[in-house]
Amino acid sequence: MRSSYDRRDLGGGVYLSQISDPKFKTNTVFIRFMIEYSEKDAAALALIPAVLTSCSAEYPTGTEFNKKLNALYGTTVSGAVNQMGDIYELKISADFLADRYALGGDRISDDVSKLLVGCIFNPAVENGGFAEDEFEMRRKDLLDAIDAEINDKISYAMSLSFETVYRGESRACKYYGSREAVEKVTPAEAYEVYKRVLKKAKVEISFCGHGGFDDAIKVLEEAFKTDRQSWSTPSFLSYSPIKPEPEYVTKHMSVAQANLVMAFKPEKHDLRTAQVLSCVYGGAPFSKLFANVREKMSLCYFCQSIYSETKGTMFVVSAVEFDNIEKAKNEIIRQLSLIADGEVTEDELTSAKLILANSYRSREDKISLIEDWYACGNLRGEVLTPEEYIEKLSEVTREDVIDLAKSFKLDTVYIQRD
Amino acid sequence: MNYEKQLIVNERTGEKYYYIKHPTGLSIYVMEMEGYNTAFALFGTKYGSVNTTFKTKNDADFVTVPEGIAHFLEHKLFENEDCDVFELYAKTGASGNAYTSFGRTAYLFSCTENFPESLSILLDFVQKPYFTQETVDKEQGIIAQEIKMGEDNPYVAVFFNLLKAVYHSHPVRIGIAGTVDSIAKINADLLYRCYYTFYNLNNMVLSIAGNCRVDDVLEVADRLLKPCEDVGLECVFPNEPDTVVQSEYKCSMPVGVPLFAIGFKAKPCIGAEMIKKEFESAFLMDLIFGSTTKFYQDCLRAGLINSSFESETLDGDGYFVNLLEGESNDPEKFRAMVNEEIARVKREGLDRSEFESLKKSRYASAIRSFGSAESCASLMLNAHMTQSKPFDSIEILASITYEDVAGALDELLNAENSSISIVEPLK
Repeated sequence: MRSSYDRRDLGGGVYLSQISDPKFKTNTVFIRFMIEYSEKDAAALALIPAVLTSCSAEYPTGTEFNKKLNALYGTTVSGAVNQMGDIYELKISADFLADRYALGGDRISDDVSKLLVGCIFNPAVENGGFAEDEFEMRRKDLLDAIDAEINDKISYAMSLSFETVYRGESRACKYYGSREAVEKVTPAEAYEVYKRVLKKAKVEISFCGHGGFDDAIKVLEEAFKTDRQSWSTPSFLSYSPIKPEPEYVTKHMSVAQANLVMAFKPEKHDLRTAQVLSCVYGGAPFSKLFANVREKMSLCYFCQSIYSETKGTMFVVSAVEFDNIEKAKNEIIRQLSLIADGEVTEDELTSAKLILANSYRSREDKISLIEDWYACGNLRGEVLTPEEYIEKLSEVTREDVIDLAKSFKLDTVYIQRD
Repeated sequence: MNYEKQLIVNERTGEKYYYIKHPTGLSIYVMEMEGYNTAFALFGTKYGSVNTTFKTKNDADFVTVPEGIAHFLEHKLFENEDCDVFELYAKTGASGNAYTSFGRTAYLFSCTENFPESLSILLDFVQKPYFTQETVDKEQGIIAQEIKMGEDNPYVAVFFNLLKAVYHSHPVRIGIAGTVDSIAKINADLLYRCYYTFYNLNNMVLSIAGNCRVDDVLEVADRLLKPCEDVGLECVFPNEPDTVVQSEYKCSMPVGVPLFAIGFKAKPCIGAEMIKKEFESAFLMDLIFGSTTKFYQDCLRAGLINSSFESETLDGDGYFVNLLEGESNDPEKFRAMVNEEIARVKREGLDRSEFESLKKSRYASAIRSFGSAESCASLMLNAHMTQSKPFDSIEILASITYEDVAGALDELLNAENSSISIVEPLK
């Protein structure tokens, strides 16, 4: 079943999409504000989505706001920050039961739209800044989240590796700038940054889900009406340049097992070939890394490749015994070079395409995934349904994969160990 | 084959599924979901990490096996005599996986095409064990690394340390994968013994939802399922006192902010009684500690907790514990405030209007649970494994009252019978 998709330009850098499918039992509204990354404003930007989605002028405390959400059948409103290429995205979303399932004819979608408009255009403000009480609670949340980055050893290793992999690029920087900046930013400073975001950001609004949200859309269309003549257009694709020689970084900390992050960058870029290559190499249970590094050599329980479309970089992440770090590293490099030497079969390619097709088709069954699918398609400048994309993926050949594998160069080896 | 396809419809939501008791002994649930691309299949056995002491009608007495066998078996079953199961799924495009939890092991796949072929792979490999001492030794190395990976995870540590503080002897206190020492005692003979005990179709369930047709499922089932005689499986658990072991369990690890888990021990139960108790627990924890409460906002404002704070219930055969989890710079102070708040609510009562509002919210959650193939398949499997029916939850939710919830407070949140686990930063 294909969901219906429609996108309109509302003018002034504001766009509105609708993705509806009657099989869904809920609806979600996504509002994405997209600007360039700025280290100076990063602390404020990192706080803003959480501040906006914790209260509003109409519901100025967390208690009142959450009671309203409970009354709206447990609607959830959340804020997050994403970095994609050179884009810094502030994302606000509200997830709610479709009106059709409400009891006694309750209209949830209209109330949710009005609530969101209140959060975005009428936040809780005092003394020229965000309301201090709620702001301080969100600041503590963010500081605790920063301190807790160390808890998940694998993602901690990945994020620290970015400092080397993406040195000199905005992606090397933390989405919050620095812990010190988060400690120092004031509610008034953050509010000024927010006002600039409203003035400058490209805005993508998506209504996605069961449908029946025409009236709700009108509420948001009206609120976002603008006569802006210019707005941000940061790049989605921002390929990271290859280093002349690979860099090796080791961080010592108290761990029971080492984490190894290796980054490879290609001399040329082709998204679909890279996706197939990454799958064959280390992105599936039948992949080279799983079959060799884990199963044959028993070097790792976890060893996986991940391709970043926006930075054109392929990572291999693994957890490995201290004594096996060198062996694992060499085997990971060797498996990629074997592909480059032609050791990849048509069967492996077929399997990769099948499992990727499975993954893309299944996105139509989850609101957040299908919304993200079309959002990225827009940013990429190529909007295809999952089925159309799968058709193009099927055109990737064995020679394409070998050729691309040859062009990947080792860029960084990051080791986190005792 | 002679069997009946029962169509079970829930009038309240309009949701429906087929139930078949297959002649081979297997219970089969199929929910056809119009418009979905994905089919999600679970083939599960009621055999998890807690099932270490058991007997069949052919055994003279109960036997106790090393911890970690259920999880070890899960790994080993993916290795056929002639190939790896993932090589088979690679030809159909299905995404295969498995999990072992405290009370069950389930093998699964999701696919958007080639459903009958993928289902054939699933039913075939789970019924075909193949273990040699050589392959067992190799797997010990991999699982030992998995266990070590868990040792670096503070969330795993805070959780299992809490269970050690709450439970004296119930196997729920041991990590699901076992320990490096316990898995070293596993051999091929033990694996076969546990396999033939628990992987008996009378102890298993097949649950499928999404882009599927019941007749396609039954065609594969009829062709591939091997009849199993009911072996009269019995599982027992050590005598577990009602009281906790100790009030506090602390350790240090590289974490930024201290993690905590507070557990309130309650009497275990099964079936519909367990579902009702789960709802009563959820309502109580939301009404006393949830995001709409003054208590929550005051603790947030004071910096005692952050937005990672959450509550949940952990229950199964022989265990039931309500949990409050999160991060805090002063977990002991937070615990004291939790206990004071429970005492205050016992004196002054719960907010009735907020209960009604929460009921609406929980109703929406129940509707949402029918929103994906994976959650529907899981719902049906979990219901069967806990001796209830898939639509019992929504009916129990509809009938639960404020008085039910208020009346359960003393038993379900007894501060005198609770423990706290804390993971502090390394000094």
